[in-house]
Amino acid sequence: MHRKIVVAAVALAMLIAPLSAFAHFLGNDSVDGREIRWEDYTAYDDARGHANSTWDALGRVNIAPDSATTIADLEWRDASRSDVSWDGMWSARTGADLIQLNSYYLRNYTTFKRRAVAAHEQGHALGLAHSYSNQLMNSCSTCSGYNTPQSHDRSDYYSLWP
Amino acid sequence: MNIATKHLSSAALALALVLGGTTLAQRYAAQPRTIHVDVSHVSDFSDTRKLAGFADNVFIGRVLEKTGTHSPDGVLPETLFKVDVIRSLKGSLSGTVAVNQQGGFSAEENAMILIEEDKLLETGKVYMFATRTGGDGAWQTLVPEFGDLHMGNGVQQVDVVQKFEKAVKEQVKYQP
Repeated sequence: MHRKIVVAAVALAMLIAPLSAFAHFLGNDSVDGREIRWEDYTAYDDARGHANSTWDALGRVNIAPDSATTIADLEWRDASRSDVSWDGMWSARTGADLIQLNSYYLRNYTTFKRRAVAAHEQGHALGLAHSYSNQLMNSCSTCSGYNTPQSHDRSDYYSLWP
Repeated sequence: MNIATKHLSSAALALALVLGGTTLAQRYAAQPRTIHVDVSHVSDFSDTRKLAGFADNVFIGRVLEKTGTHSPDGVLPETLFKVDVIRSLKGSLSGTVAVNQQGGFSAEENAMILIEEDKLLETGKVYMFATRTGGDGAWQTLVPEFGDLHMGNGVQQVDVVQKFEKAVKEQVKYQP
């Protein structure tokens, strides 16, 4: 009897340990009822569109524009700051959360890089934290060489949104 | 217990519950929460050569006082500190400067807002700063997480200085 309990406990620990050791979650997100309804105030529509479609394609969280019958969960806006070290930022707020794209940097980026920044920030809005250097959720989104979710990004997404 | 006593007891209990609940609610509401803001950095600042190449100024400074909170872009609070420049490794800062740290207390959110895990500077402590000039020269904005390294004491301090002297010498200029 005791042996069965010990075996079950070890099995449970082995199931939980990899998640806590390797998963990268913020503990916060912009998802409301498996959905992110967004409002668009950014000039970088291509980047925003790419970010929405590349994560929406994974299927677990519906990412769609806000409408007259829904409440916005997320706003896309632009900033222009030369003194800060970020090209994109996601912040949780009372009311709609906010993604800011820093045009001081984005205006000199290629389309590929702009999409990388926007997709990275959308990853934060989905609750994902920074992870590895060869993933979209690397702390420097334009350093990874990717602008779509990679294997670990997807693994984190599916763990968080089973 | 007669009916009057029973009613009185019920009223007292209800009042106690309301007052107790209110006090608890007030106490809970008064506790500011912490909100972590998540950013995408423009470069890999864990490489100090890239950090030094991105920064306008790299210097050792002591925080004298917190001078205020502002919001240059109208979104997030940012906190200003008066800092005494002890030694400049890159740039030409001297005397006292205004160091701007993104993050700070937001009354609107009743929350301490931090960029990633970048805690607010502490008065009296010495840091290695990596900053960019902002506000048309009015302040130096530090790079969150990487540009406000607490210096510690003794050997640790010497190590940090040597590391950043080398980084400035071998700096990798930022290219978008």
